[in-house]
Amino acid sequence: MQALASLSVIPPFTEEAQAGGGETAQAATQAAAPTEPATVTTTLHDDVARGVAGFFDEPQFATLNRLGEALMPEADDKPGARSAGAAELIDFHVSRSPEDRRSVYVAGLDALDWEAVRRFGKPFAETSQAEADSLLAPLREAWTPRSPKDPIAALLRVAKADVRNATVNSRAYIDATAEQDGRRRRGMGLYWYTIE
Amino acid sequence: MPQKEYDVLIVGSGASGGMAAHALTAKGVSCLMLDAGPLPDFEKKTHLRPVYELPYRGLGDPNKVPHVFQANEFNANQWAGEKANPYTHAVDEPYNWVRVRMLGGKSLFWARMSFRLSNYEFKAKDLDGFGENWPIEYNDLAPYYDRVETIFRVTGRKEGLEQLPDGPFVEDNSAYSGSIQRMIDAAKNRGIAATKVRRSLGEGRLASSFNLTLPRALATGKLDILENAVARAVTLDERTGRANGVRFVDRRSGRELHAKAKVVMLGASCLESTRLLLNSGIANSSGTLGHYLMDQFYVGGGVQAIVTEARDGKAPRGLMGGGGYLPRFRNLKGGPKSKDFIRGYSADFYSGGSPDAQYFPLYGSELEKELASTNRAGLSMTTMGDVLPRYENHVRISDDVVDAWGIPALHISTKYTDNEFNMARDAKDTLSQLVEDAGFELLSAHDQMWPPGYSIHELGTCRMGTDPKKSVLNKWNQSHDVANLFVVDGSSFVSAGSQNPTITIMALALRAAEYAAEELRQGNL
Repeated sequence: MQALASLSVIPPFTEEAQAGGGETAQAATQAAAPTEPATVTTTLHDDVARGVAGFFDEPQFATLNRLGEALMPEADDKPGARSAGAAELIDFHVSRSPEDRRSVYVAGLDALDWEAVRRFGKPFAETSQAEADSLLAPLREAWTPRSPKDPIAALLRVAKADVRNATVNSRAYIDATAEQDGRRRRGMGLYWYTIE
Repeated sequence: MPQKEYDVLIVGSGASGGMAAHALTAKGVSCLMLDAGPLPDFEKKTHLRPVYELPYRGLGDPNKVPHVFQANEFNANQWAGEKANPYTHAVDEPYNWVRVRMLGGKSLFWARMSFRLSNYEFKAKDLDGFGENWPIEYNDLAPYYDRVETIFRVTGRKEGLEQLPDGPFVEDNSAYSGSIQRMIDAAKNRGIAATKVRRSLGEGRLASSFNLTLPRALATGKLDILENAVARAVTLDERTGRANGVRFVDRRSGRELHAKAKVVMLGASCLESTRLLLNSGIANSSGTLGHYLMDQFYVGGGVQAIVTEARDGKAPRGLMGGGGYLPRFRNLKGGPKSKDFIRGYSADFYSGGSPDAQYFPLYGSELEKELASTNRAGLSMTTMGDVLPRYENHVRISDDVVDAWGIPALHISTKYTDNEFNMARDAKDTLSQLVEDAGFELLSAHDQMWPPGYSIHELGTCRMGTDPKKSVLNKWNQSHDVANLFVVDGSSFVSAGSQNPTITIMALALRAAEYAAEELRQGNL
């Protein structure tokens, strides 16, 4: 696992220092003291753990996961939304968002699922690609700056951006594309810490 | 310890406060500067990080600065947080008030666009009958523009345009890229002037008060700066009615303090200076304080195009990159008049970017292929329009909201009107025609403005004028009511223009500060 952060700490506790007492222990401690500060490395959450969805109910989350798959499918050389954990990240992000954004997602996911049942007799999560494509038709209309009033169109508009960002900003996607185009600094930015 | 009395107390350390401090201290005037924020520490406070390390993986904390559309998860902390610094507006009157609370203020992060106003703005009423003229004209400010542009090292190309006066530029005689030249030619074929973008080069990585004017002022030994000093009120001597200092709060501890000076000069940014005066209950015999709020409306990325020859990474050398600027071209003297609006708009455009995914009516693998094909093949245009000064567009003190230091917050009430909407529609039609004339693929065109305030060019609310019944300040940015009180930021504007205002703000601050220094020397203040 690649180191993400380094932290200077006091010299590490050693068995030699613990073994004896008096002058021996002191000598052992001095011998063990490193000339450079020790380095502690940490690991990225998403490298070893998966987000736990908690905002959307089960059908809504399944719909979002299927939608993510349609919007950012897995490719041979790049991860898609599902392996990037896009739906879990969006679930978390929407849970922290103002009510108007929550409503776009909740109403839109419900409407999309309901429309899939109405048209194909099955939930959106179980639709084929062709069936999903027919439901995503609003995304083939020319872009306008005004938010659509239809709940499905409104959902698709925000989800298209969110799913894509959650995917292309994932470490797996960035590592894959950096290897392809040789741009090692892809996804890097100057971060401002809190001003206190 | 006896309390020190300074000649001038300056509130704010950004573009205007910094320029005022530079001008005053150069004349030997002792100054105390208050800024609400801390000294920025770029080494300790910034760090290059990958987006996947951020807590929201680049999607951003949705509650941190919801009105700052410029913010992303990398830079969200550089903007003033809205919980500590609240303001209010009606649901149907959104306003994006974008603030920075660090020494140097917004000048740390501005886009550096540096365009002069002209008599089309200073004498706007003479031309179209709307609003008021400024109490000064272009020639009054021209020498100060010269000096500001020299300090900030403004680069540009001299064109001799009446609506966009030239300055002592660091001459930019470089050739336009092929795609930008085609846009310039398309504009000129339709009688529209075009030029290079005029920008402040500054020095090193910054073009800010932080590195250009404050160090000069400090070097005189005449300037003391207090960081973390949140101004609460300008105080008056009850006996004379003159300003005698500023009461402020230590941002970190909440301790209340007071500093004394012979003159108070506000450069706290347009709406913060007005808020301070409203909270102080002074300088408003005209009843216009807080009124005539303006900015430039922005239609960001209003026209998006693709340079076909640059698709799939096949751009010939020199085709892509760089940008250009269309200064106002509507309703000029001797030219055609628009029947739908008065005044005008400007536009800037850049090539070599990648169009955002939202503009393509595609998704999935088809979208990814199109994004790959148009990578660095984009051309984007942004419209900036003149917003008329209207009395009803105003700020006032909130009835019940206070900031983290108990200081009453602002309520902002403003909206655009048909003059601005019609202007934006004209811009959409005209600029998309230019793109097609230039032979590019038109990807999208729209006229939807960002909410007022988005441009971070808030102007007015403490305007200058010759008539004390219609204005707050005289032609020297000096209060009509309180003779030793000056306001030197964008709140003093009488009309907005379509040009980015920072260079004008600094020229006004320089002129006002030198006037105040001379008045102090003569014992008139």
